[in-house]
Amino acid sequence: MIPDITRDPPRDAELAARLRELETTRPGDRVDWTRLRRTTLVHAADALARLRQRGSWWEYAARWARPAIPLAAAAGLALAVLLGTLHVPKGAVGPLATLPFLEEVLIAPIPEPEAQLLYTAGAEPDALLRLAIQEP
Amino acid sequence: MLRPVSPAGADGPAGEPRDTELIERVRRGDAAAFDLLVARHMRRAFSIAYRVLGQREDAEDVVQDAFLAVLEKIDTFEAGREFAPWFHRIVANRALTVRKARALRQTDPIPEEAASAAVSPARAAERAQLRDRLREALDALPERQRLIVQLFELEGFTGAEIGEMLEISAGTVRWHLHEARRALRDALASYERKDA
Repeated sequence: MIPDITRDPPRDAELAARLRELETTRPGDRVDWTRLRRTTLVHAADALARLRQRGSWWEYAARWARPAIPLAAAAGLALAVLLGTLHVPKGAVGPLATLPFLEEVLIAPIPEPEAQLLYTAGAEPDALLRLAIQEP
Repeated sequence: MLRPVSPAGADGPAGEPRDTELIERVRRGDAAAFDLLVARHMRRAFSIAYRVLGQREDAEDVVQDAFLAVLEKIDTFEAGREFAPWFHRIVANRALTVRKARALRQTDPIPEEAASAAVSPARAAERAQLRDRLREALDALPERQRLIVQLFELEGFTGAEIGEMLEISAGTVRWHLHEARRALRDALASYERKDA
Protein backbone atom coordinates (compact mmCIF):
# COMPACT_ATOMS: atom_id res chain seq x y z
CA MET A 1 0.00 0.00 0.00
CA ILE A 2 1.42 3.38 -1.00
CA PRO A 3 1.21 5.72 1.97
CA ASP A 4 -0.26 9.19 1.67
CA ILE A 5 2.77 11.40 2.24
CA THR A 6 1.00 14.66 1.55
CA ARG A 7 -0.12 14.95 5.15
CA ASP A 8 0.78 13.60 8.58
CA PRO A 9 -0.96 10.35 9.53
CA PRO A 10 -3.01 10.24 12.72
CA ARG A 11 -0.97 9.57 15.82
CA ASP A 12 -0.80 5.90 16.76
CA ALA A 13 -1.69 6.03 20.44
CA GLU A 14 -1.28 2.29 20.96
CA LEU A 15 2.16 2.20 19.38
CA ALA A 16 3.16 5.27 21.36
CA ALA A 17 2.03 3.57 24.59
CA ARG A 18 4.03 0.45 23.75
CA LEU A 19 7.10 2.54 22.96
CA ARG A 20 6.70 4.45 26.22
CA GLU A 21 6.61 1.17 28.14
CA LEU A 22 10.15 0.57 26.91
CA GLU A 23 11.29 3.63 28.80
CA THR A 24 9.57 3.05 32.15
CA THR A 25 10.24 6.68 33.04
CA ARG A 26 10.23 9.66 30.68
CA PRO A 27 13.84 10.66 29.91
CA GLY A 28 13.06 14.27 30.71
CA ASP A 29 11.87 13.29 34.19
CA ARG A 30 15.45 12.59 35.17
CA VAL A 31 16.82 15.94 34.04
CA ASP A 32 17.58 18.69 36.53
CA TRP A 33 16.19 21.52 34.41
CA THR A 34 17.19 24.25 36.83
CA ARG A 35 20.79 23.10 36.83
CA LEU A 36 20.84 22.76 33.02
CA ARG A 37 19.45 26.25 32.62
CA ARG A 38 21.93 27.71 35.10
CA THR A 39 25.02 25.99 33.64
CA THR A 40 24.03 27.00 30.11
CA LEU A 41 23.81 30.62 31.21
CA VAL A 42 27.20 30.39 32.94
CA HIS A 43 28.85 28.91 29.85
CA ALA A 44 27.27 31.60 27.67
CA ALA A 45 28.55 34.49 29.79
CA ASP A 46 31.65 35.22 27.65
CA ALA A 47 29.77 35.08 24.36
CA LEU A 48 27.07 37.38 25.72
CA ALA A 49 29.71 39.81 26.97
CA ARG A 50 31.28 39.91 23.49
CA LEU A 51 27.90 40.67 21.96
CA ARG A 52 27.35 43.50 24.44
CA GLN A 53 30.80 44.93 23.69
CA ARG A 54 30.20 44.72 19.96
CA GLY A 55 26.90 46.45 20.42
CA SER A 56 28.47 49.28 22.41
CA TRP A 57 31.14 49.92 19.71
CA TRP A 58 28.50 50.13 17.05
CA GLU A 59 26.32 52.42 19.13
CA TYR A 60 29.35 54.69 19.78
CA ALA A 61 30.06 54.99 16.03
CA ALA A 62 26.39 55.59 15.29
CA ARG A 63 26.23 58.40 17.86
CA TRP A 64 29.13 60.24 16.20
CA ALA A 65 27.85 59.52 12.69
CA ARG A 66 24.74 61.59 13.32
CA PRO A 67 26.45 64.99 13.50
CA ALA A 68 29.53 63.97 11.47
CA ILE A 69 27.80 63.07 8.22
CA PRO A 70 26.02 66.42 7.73
CA LEU A 71 29.20 68.27 8.71
CA ALA A 72 31.21 66.32 6.16
CA ALA A 73 28.62 67.04 3.49
CA ALA A 74 28.67 70.76 4.28
CA ALA A 75 32.47 70.84 4.20
CA GLY A 76 32.47 69.11 0.82
CA LEU A 77 29.97 71.55 -0.57
CA ALA A 78 31.97 74.52 0.68
CA LEU A 79 35.13 73.14 -0.89
CA ALA A 80 33.37 72.67 -4.20
CA VAL A 81 32.10 76.25 -4.16
CA LEU A 82 35.56 77.52 -3.25
CA LEU A 83 37.24 75.67 -6.08
CA GLY A 84 34.62 76.90 -8.52
CA THR A 85 35.31 80.53 -7.71
CA LEU A 86 39.07 80.29 -8.04
CA HIS A 87 40.19 82.89 -10.67
CA VAL A 88 42.64 81.83 -13.33
CA PRO A 89 44.81 84.82 -14.18
CA LYS A 90 44.89 86.01 -17.83
CA GLY A 91 47.87 84.81 -19.74
CA ALA A 92 48.47 81.82 -17.55
CA VAL A 93 49.77 78.88 -19.43
CA GLY A 94 46.91 76.58 -20.25
CA PRO A 95 46.81 72.88 -20.50
CA LEU A 96 47.78 73.00 -24.16
CA ALA A 97 51.27 74.15 -23.30
CA THR A 98 52.70 70.67 -22.94
CA LEU A 99 56.09 69.96 -24.45
CA PRO A 100 55.08 67.61 -27.29
CA PHE A 101 52.34 69.98 -28.36
CA LEU A 102 54.74 72.88 -28.32
CA GLU A 103 57.10 71.02 -30.57
CA GLU A 104 54.34 70.34 -33.05
CA VAL A 105 53.27 73.96 -32.96
CA LEU A 106 56.77 75.29 -33.33
CA ILE A 107 57.44 73.26 -36.44
CA ALA A 108 53.96 73.79 -37.86
CA PRO A 109 53.21 76.64 -40.23
CA ILE A 110 51.00 78.53 -37.76
CA PRO A 111 50.61 82.27 -38.00
CA GLU A 112 52.14 84.00 -35.02
CA PRO A 113 48.95 85.48 -33.56
CA GLU A 114 47.32 82.07 -33.58
CA ALA A 115 50.40 80.51 -32.04
CA GLN A 116 50.33 83.03 -29.21
CA LEU A 117 46.70 82.22 -28.55
CA LEU A 118 47.50 78.54 -28.48
CA TYR A 119 50.33 79.01 -25.96
CA THR A 120 48.12 81.02 -23.69
CA ALA A 121 45.10 78.74 -24.07
CA GLY A 122 43.17 81.74 -25.28
CA ALA A 123 42.44 80.34 -28.73
CA GLU A 124 38.88 79.91 -29.86
CA PRO A 125 37.84 76.28 -30.43
CA ASP A 126 37.08 77.04 -34.11
CA ALA A 127 40.54 78.44 -34.61
CA LEU A 128 42.07 75.32 -33.18
CA LEU A 129 39.95 73.18 -35.46
CA ARG A 130 40.93 75.20 -38.52
CA LEU A 131 44.54 74.85 -37.52
CA ALA A 132 44.18 71.13 -37.17
CA ILE A 133 42.73 70.71 -40.66
CA GLN A 134 44.97 73.41 -42.08
CA GLU A 135 42.20 75.70 -43.27
CA PRO A 136 43.11 79.27 -44.03
CA MET B 1 17.54 33.81 41.15
CA LEU B 2 16.21 32.30 37.93
CA ARG B 3 12.84 33.55 36.87
CA PRO B 4 10.38 30.67 36.45
CA VAL B 5 9.20 30.22 32.90
CA SER B 6 6.52 27.87 31.72
CA PRO B 7 7.69 25.68 28.84
CA ALA B 8 5.07 26.81 26.38
CA GLY B 9 5.06 26.83 22.60
CA ALA B 10 7.43 28.51 20.25
CA ASP B 11 6.52 32.02 21.29
CA GLY B 12 5.83 31.55 24.94
CA PRO B 13 2.66 32.18 26.87
CA ALA B 14 0.76 35.45 26.77
CA GLY B 15 2.53 38.19 28.67
CA GLU B 16 6.02 36.93 27.89
CA PRO B 17 8.15 38.40 25.12
CA ARG B 18 7.95 36.62 21.77
CA ASP B 19 10.95 34.72 20.44
CA THR B 20 11.61 37.42 17.82
CA GLU B 21 11.93 40.06 20.52
CA LEU B 22 14.15 37.83 22.65
CA ILE B 23 16.45 37.17 19.69
CA GLU B 24 16.89 40.89 19.04
CA ARG B 25 17.78 41.41 22.68
CA VAL B 26 20.19 38.45 22.63
CA ARG B 27 21.94 40.02 19.60
CA ARG B 28 22.81 42.86 21.96
CA GLY B 29 24.07 40.47 24.64
CA ASP B 30 21.01 40.58 26.89
CA ALA B 31 21.57 37.72 29.37
CA ALA B 32 18.03 37.83 30.75
CA ALA B 33 16.59 37.40 27.24
CA PHE B 34 18.96 34.51 26.59
CA ASP B 35 17.92 32.87 29.87
CA LEU B 36 14.25 33.12 28.86
CA LEU B 37 15.05 31.56 25.49
CA VAL B 38 16.86 28.68 27.19
CA ALA B 39 14.04 28.04 29.62
CA ARG B 40 11.46 28.11 26.85
CA HIS B 41 13.22 25.73 24.43
CA MET B 42 15.43 23.45 26.46
CA ARG B 43 12.88 20.66 27.01
CA ARG B 44 12.05 20.22 23.35
CA ALA B 45 15.74 20.44 22.52
CA PHE B 46 16.49 17.72 25.05
CA SER B 47 13.82 15.46 23.59
CA ILE B 48 15.42 15.71 20.15
CA ALA B 49 18.95 15.15 21.43
CA TYR B 50 17.85 12.24 23.60
CA ARG B 51 16.10 10.50 20.73
CA VAL B 52 19.27 10.74 18.67
CA LEU B 53 21.74 9.78 21.37
CA GLY B 54 19.74 7.60 23.74
CA GLN B 55 21.69 8.89 26.73
CA ARG B 56 20.54 11.59 29.12
CA GLU B 57 23.91 13.14 29.97
CA ASP B 58 25.04 13.31 26.36
CA ALA B 59 21.71 14.84 25.43
CA GLU B 60 22.11 17.52 28.11
CA ASP B 61 25.58 18.36 26.80
CA VAL B 62 24.25 18.69 23.28
CA VAL B 63 21.46 21.00 24.45
CA GLN B 64 23.97 23.25 26.18
CA ASP B 65 26.28 23.27 23.13
CA ALA B 66 23.36 24.06 20.87
CA PHE B 67 22.44 27.15 22.90
CA LEU B 68 26.05 28.31 22.73
CA ALA B 69 25.96 27.73 18.97
CA VAL B 70 22.93 30.03 18.83
CA LEU B 71 25.11 32.84 20.19
CA GLU B 72 27.84 32.10 17.64
CA LYS B 73 25.37 32.04 14.76
CA ILE B 74 23.08 34.81 15.96
CA ASP B 75 24.09 37.09 13.09
CA THR B 76 23.03 34.49 10.52
CA PHE B 77 19.53 34.20 11.98
CA GLU B 78 17.12 36.15 9.79
CA ALA B 79 14.99 38.61 11.68
CA GLY B 80 11.33 37.66 11.71
CA ARG B 81 12.01 33.98 11.09
CA GLU B 82 10.70 31.35 13.51
CA PHE B 83 13.35 30.47 16.07
CA ALA B 84 12.28 26.93 17.02
CA PRO B 85 12.78 25.16 13.65
CA TRP B 86 16.16 26.81 13.18
CA PHE B 87 17.24 25.88 16.69
CA HIS B 88 15.93 22.32 16.45
CA ARG B 89 18.02 21.84 13.33
CA ILE B 90 21.10 22.96 15.24
CA VAL B 91 20.28 20.50 18.03
CA ALA B 92 19.68 17.61 15.64
CA ASN B 93 22.88 18.30 13.70
CA ARG B 94 24.93 18.53 16.87
CA ALA B 95 23.43 15.34 18.25
CA LEU B 96 24.01 13.46 15.00
CA THR B 97 27.61 14.67 14.93
CA VAL B 98 28.19 13.47 18.48
CA ARG B 99 26.58 10.17 17.66
CA LYS B 100 28.81 9.63 14.66
CA ALA B 101 31.89 10.60 16.62
CA ARG B 102 31.15 8.26 19.47
CA ALA B 103 29.48 5.49 17.43
CA LEU B 104 26.91 5.16 20.17
CA ARG B 105 24.47 2.33 19.95
CA GLN B 106 23.76 1.64 23.61
CA THR B 107 21.07 3.44 25.46
CA ASP B 108 20.41 4.15 29.09
CA PRO B 109 19.76 0.94 30.95
CA ILE B 110 16.07 0.45 31.54
CA PRO B 111 15.49 0.47 35.27
CA GLU B 112 14.01 -2.76 36.48
CA GLU B 113 10.38 -2.48 37.34
CA ALA B 114 9.47 -3.09 40.92
CA ALA B 115 7.36 -6.22 41.19
CA SER B 116 3.72 -5.29 41.34
CA ALA B 117 1.45 -7.31 43.54
CA ALA B 118 -1.41 -6.60 41.10
CA VAL B 119 0.35 -8.32 38.16
CA SER B 120 0.79 -12.05 38.12
CA PRO B 121 4.28 -13.36 37.41
CA ALA B 122 3.06 -14.91 34.16
CA ARG B 123 1.60 -11.66 32.97
CA ALA B 124 4.73 -9.76 33.99
CA ALA B 125 6.82 -12.22 31.99
CA GLU B 126 4.58 -11.74 28.95
CA ARG B 127 4.89 -8.00 29.14
CA ALA B 128 8.65 -8.28 29.50
CA GLN B 129 8.81 -10.46 26.39
CA LEU B 130 6.65 -8.04 24.44
CA ARG B 131 8.90 -5.19 25.45
CA ASP B 132 11.95 -7.17 24.37
CA ARG B 133 10.34 -7.92 21.01
CA LEU B 134 9.47 -4.28 20.47
CA ARG B 135 12.94 -3.19 21.61
CA GLU B 136 14.55 -5.54 19.10
CA ALA B 137 12.30 -4.28 16.32
CA LEU B 138 13.07 -0.68 17.24
CA ASP B 139 16.81 -1.31 17.30
CA ALA B 140 16.60 -3.08 13.96
CA LEU B 141 15.12 -0.03 12.26
CA PRO B 142 17.42 2.13 10.16
CA GLU B 143 18.66 4.99 12.34
CA ARG B 144 16.63 7.63 10.55
CA GLN B 145 13.37 5.67 10.80
CA ARG B 146 13.96 4.99 14.49
CA LEU B 147 14.55 8.67 15.14
CA ILE B 148 11.57 9.79 13.10
CA VAL B 149 9.07 7.39 14.69
CA GLN B 150 10.19 8.42 18.18
CA LEU B 151 10.12 12.12 17.42
CA PHE B 152 6.65 11.77 15.90
CA GLU B 153 4.97 9.31 18.27
CA LEU B 154 6.73 10.08 21.55
CA GLU B 155 7.71 13.74 21.29
CA GLY B 156 4.80 15.03 19.26
CA PHE B 157 6.71 16.75 16.47
CA THR B 158 4.94 17.09 13.14
CA GLY B 159 6.27 15.71 9.88
CA ALA B 160 7.14 19.20 8.71
CA GLU B 161 9.03 19.99 11.92
CA ILE B 162 10.99 16.75 11.72
CA GLY B 163 11.77 17.41 8.07
CA GLU B 164 13.11 20.85 8.85
CA MET B 165 15.18 19.46 11.71
CA LEU B 166 16.75 16.71 9.62
CA GLU B 167 16.85 18.79 6.42
CA ILE B 168 14.67 16.41 4.45
CA SER B 169 11.23 16.91 2.96
CA ALA B 170 8.10 16.33 5.01
CA GLY B 171 7.05 13.73 2.45
CA THR B 172 10.25 11.78 3.05
CA VAL B 173 9.62 11.95 6.79
CA ARG B 174 6.13 10.55 6.35
CA TRP B 175 7.39 7.73 4.17
CA HIS B 176 10.00 6.76 6.78
CA LEU B 177 7.34 7.00 9.48
CA HIS B 178 5.09 4.68 7.50
CA GLU B 179 7.89 2.14 7.09
CA ALA B 180 8.89 2.32 10.76
CA ARG B 181 5.33 1.89 12.00
CA ARG B 182 4.81 -1.06 9.70
CA ALA B 183 7.93 -2.81 11.03
CA LEU B 184 7.00 -2.17 14.66
CA ARG B 185 3.37 -3.20 14.25
CA ASP B 186 4.47 -6.34 12.46
CA ALA B 187 6.71 -7.22 15.41
CA LEU B 188 3.88 -6.65 17.89
CA ALA B 189 1.34 -8.49 15.74
CA SER B 190 3.57 -11.53 15.27
CA TYR B 191 4.11 -11.71 19.03
CA GLU B 192 0.41 -11.43 19.74
CA ARG B 193 -0.40 -14.09 17.12
CA LYS B 194 2.15 -16.37 18.71
CA ASP B 195 0.75 -15.58 22.12
CA ALA B 196 -2.77 -16.38 20.96
